Amino acid sequence: MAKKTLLFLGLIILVAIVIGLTWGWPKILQQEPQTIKIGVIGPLSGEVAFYGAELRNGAQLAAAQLNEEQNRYYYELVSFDDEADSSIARQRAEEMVENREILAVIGPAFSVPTLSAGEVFQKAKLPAISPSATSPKVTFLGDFIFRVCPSDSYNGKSLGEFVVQDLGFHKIAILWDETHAAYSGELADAFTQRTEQLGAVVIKRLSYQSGQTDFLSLLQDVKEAEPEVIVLTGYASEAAFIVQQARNMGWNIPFVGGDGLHVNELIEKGGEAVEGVKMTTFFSSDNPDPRVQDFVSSFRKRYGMDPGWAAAHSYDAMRLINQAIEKNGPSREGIQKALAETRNFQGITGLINFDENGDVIKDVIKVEVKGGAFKVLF
Amino acid sequence: MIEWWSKERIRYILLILAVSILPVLLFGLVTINYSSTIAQREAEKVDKIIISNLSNQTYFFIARAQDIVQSLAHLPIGKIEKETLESVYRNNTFRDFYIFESLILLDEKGSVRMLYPERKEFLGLDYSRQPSFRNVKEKEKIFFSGVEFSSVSGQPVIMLAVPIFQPGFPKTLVGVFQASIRLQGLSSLIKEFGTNEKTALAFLIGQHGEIIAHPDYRLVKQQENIANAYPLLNDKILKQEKTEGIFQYSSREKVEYLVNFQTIYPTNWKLITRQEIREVLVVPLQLRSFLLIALIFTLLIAAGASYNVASYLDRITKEREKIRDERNKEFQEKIEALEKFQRVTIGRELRMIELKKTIKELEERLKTSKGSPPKNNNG
Repeated sequence: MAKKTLLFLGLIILVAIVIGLTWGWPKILQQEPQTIKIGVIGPLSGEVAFYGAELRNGAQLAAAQLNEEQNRYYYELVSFDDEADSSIARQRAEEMVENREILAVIGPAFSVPTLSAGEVFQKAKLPAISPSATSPKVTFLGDFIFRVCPSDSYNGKSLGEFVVQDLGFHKIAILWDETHAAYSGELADAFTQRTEQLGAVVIKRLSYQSGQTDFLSLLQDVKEAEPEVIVLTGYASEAAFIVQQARNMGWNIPFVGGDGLHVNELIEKGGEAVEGVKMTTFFSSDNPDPRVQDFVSSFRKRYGMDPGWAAAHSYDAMRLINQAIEKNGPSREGIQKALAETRNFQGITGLINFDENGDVIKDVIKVEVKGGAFKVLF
Repeated sequence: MIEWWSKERIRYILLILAVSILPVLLFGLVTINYSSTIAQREAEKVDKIIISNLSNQTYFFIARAQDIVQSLAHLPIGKIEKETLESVYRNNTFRDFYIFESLILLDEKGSVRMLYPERKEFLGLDYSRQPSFRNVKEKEKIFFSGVEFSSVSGQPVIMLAVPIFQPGFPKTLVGVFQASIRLQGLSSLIKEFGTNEKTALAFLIGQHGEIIAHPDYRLVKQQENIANAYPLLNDKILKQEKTEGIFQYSSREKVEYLVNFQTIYPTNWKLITRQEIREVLVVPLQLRSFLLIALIFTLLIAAGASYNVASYLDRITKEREKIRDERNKEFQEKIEALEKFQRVTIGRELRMIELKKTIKELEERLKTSKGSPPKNNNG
């Protein structure tokens, strides 16, 4: 009798142990990933919110893909709106720095906010990658500030070579955006320097304000100087008006621009007038590379639109941060160190290497508006 | 004997009470669980009312804008005047916001022929590459764009484009009427329904998941997408095969939500309401917690009382056994004494009986010897 009782009790204990172990087993196997917060800063409201939204969406897509691909880290993006304003960008940067959970930052998008926010990031040793700030001044912010797009001095040089050597223009007029002088003015300066080295002449250089829609008198002024080409170093919204109004004047002069023109807004607002407008840029969704096409289709599926270069660069920036965390672990200093040591990272915008100043080394691509779309010029 | 105030009696009472309360509590729990289901169903009904109300108002907002633009498109193109556009612009509001951001008349090639608010530099501009014009030109029917952000106000708008046909020739496109519709009023509408992040949330998304109206207007202004803002909810909605429905999902933070969604035509927007299940079931869950605690206490009391009663009964039994043993011993001793006495008394009695028997035999022999002279045994 006693033996039977003992046997029964033993059986119950055994069953309990088995249930206990099997109950806990999946939890042991499915270890919760560590949450990593990454700050995203850009103009999420205002006239240039489009760029900020693109930047955020590119980074979000990369984070979502990384969260599915691996189970070690869960990337959570925290968005900050700098309204493309330097003082607001500084405030947001201070908020990000104070939040010790934020280990790295993607942004800001524009050069002026990057210069003010970058100082804060550098001082607090919070690594930041700007996907699109191209001002040469960003180069000297410090070793915690990186960017995945080439600087304006590099872009201006490439744009100058494109206009003079490839397209053969020698009498050039420049229209630049005074509101975004840190980008547009710097690009115009670097372009002028290179074209003059190549023997061309900038015969007219005029500025306009962001949001301006009437360019008739400005164009009249430029027309009187009789240039062979007009180079636009600002953004697409104003460029679309400039080209349309030039065509409405009956002036069929060629237009060439920088990366700021390479957004769908140029084609939608510019209509047929922008046919033939050429530009240098960093990313094209036409690129047949399967990696690029995968990215384009994922972006389209998620957001119902084609990605621009800002989205592509922030996508690369997010993947670079992931690589840095995988290499040195989740810490601000570790990420900075790993980013500085980046060699031949294959991004969708090309092969990425950083120089000693955190500037990216990569080629630009040349694009033309043809048949209502951007086509890569090989 | 147990007195009425005795500990033993209290123990018995507690035990009986606990045992009687147990089924009541169990029944209560079952009832509460059932009432949770009812509460959830009620919440779903309320959700449905809210969502149908919101979707109706959203639908009528769009339908109203569409009607206005269509009525403009029915006018002969040459008879549309600046004053007509101004009147339409100024006299149509939705929740204190002008419905239209701009009204633009395009010719059949997509050139701007007239617009309000008037801006001369826009006249003659080529809009033929804008998706709204392209779609209307190709399909010759009304087109609603996705959410765009006005370069004038920076606020979210959608473009509505309506074809203008030559009177009497319904296939001859002579122009397109394009209206930019402000969406701020929809966020105001949604906010007014008292929805907030904690208890309930209602928001509107466009065809591609872009957030069109939300109580937190920043999400709209920042062109946020449901895929970014509520990724797990988005996954669930994408899996839904129907155009409307109710489902539950759990966020990454393990918060359970009750979600109701409905598609709004013709824009194919989705209106979504979401509320925390624990908020829906707050009363039943509180009652259930109370009952569970009461059940645990009752069980503890019952267990304690049972243990006490059992110990008491055990003690009593042992005491009784002890008394019984003592009594047995006493009884045994008495039996032994009695047996001893019996042995003594019965032995004497038997001897007496034997002696009497001997005397009787001797008397018999004596009688016999009186009839004949006794033999001289000596000689």
